[in-house]
Amino acid sequence: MTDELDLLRGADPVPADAERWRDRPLDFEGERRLRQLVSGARRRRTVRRVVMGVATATAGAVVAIALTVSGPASSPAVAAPVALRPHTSAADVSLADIARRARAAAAAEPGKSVRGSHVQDWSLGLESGKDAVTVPQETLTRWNADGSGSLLVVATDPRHPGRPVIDDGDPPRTVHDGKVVRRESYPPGIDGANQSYFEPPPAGAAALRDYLAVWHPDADRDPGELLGAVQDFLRVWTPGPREIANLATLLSRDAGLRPAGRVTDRMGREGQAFVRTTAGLQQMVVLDPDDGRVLDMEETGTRDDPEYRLKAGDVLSYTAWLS
Amino acid sequence: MSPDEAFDTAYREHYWAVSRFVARRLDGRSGEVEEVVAEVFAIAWRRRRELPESPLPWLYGVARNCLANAVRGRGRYRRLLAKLGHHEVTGGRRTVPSPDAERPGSWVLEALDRLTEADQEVLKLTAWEELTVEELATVLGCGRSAAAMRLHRARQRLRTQIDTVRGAVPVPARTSTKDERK
Repeated sequence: MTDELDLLRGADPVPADAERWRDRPLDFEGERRLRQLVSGARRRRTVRRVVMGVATATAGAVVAIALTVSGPASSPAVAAPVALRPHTSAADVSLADIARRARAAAAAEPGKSVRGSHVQDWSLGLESGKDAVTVPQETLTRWNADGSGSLLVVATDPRHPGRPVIDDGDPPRTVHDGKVVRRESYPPGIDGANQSYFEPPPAGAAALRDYLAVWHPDADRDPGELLGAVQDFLRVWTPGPREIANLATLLSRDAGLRPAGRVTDRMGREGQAFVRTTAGLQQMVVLDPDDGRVLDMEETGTRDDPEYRLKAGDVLSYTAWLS
Repeated sequence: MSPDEAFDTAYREHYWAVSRFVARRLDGRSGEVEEVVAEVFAIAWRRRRELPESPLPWLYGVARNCLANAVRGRGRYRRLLAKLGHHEVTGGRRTVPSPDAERPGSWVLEALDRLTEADQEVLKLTAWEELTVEELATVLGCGRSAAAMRLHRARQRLRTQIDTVRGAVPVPARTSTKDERK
């Protein structure tokens, strides 16, 4: 008979390889909090509120693999990505119009959402006392209705940061000089690897907002949380036309976004950018103006931070959806 | 190594383990998890001269108190206590029965849920945080033999509840489990 402790281990709701809480170098939030403690700043609680704002907004981003450049034998150094630069254009489309287009597209062909995603992302990696750089990484997930699935994480080539490295075929394969960081297969069932947004998204924008709020409790009232929830949801699901329309509707109504203009993203795709600025942070969402698909999300700082040698406008994280 | 350096090392080595500890007991609600973890390390910083050589069990002990204080402080103690060890989302369980009937996730948690909070915690610390009996004693603030006995009894009670749940026999009320301790 199986040991009862073994059975309990198998039911761990947050296993050590859970995406969000897995062992890795400190993320931006963890590093900032450590610095605050050590510096002994009297105004810790005030500062923490600001950091929490950043942390909440960045919570959906998966931290890129930190590659410390330590000597001449190391890989070539990688610069932090340059922020996307939207510009006003005669071709600009409003968010409301994009949502309308998306709803029209969904009415013509509802389609279905697919479990799994293919993204490239990057986020600031900070290691106290070290010059750490990170390269973007690409993640391909595939999930079945019974909870089984697979995960492939590949770090992009430092010589060509951001160049896609996964061919989403069957089976998926790496291309160019990406370094496979993780390759996992998951058995049927729900566990820490797939529990968030496990159920299929519901019909209707209002129902979708409630669904998103299950894993981001304030997503139904806080625009920043809503953006974080959308980002997390899109890491689990590749939405079909109907869900794309519902997401575009939610973003147009509840996300506090303002138009920023046309932009060409890091994958060379043209999109329509919208931004939301809060204390210290700007969140950008890039949508396909034709069908409302989310192409990119990016976070940039809005003020200098000498402690981390950050300047206003520097990228804190980005995610580009490739499928 | 100075206390400041020891704290820095402990923070970097155990930040995610402490996060998982808290997430397991707060349904993984990210906002609350991050707040509690921040408080754990704030307390650990203030008490950094007490950091033992192997600080993780000690940090878990701090985290247990922070969880209780944080929850109680927000006036939601009872509501969240009811959730500890559960994984429920808007009326439905996050851990649901698998199509594979042999997968233990749901019924093991159901069996665990029938134990007292104290028994649950001993078992979680052993199975999920993978603590040794000595480390368990550190977290629980008791001696090694007392920790070993608590674990032994909790395992027996879990086995009983597993057999009950798997056997689909009438499930005794939770109070009957507590009665076994008397």
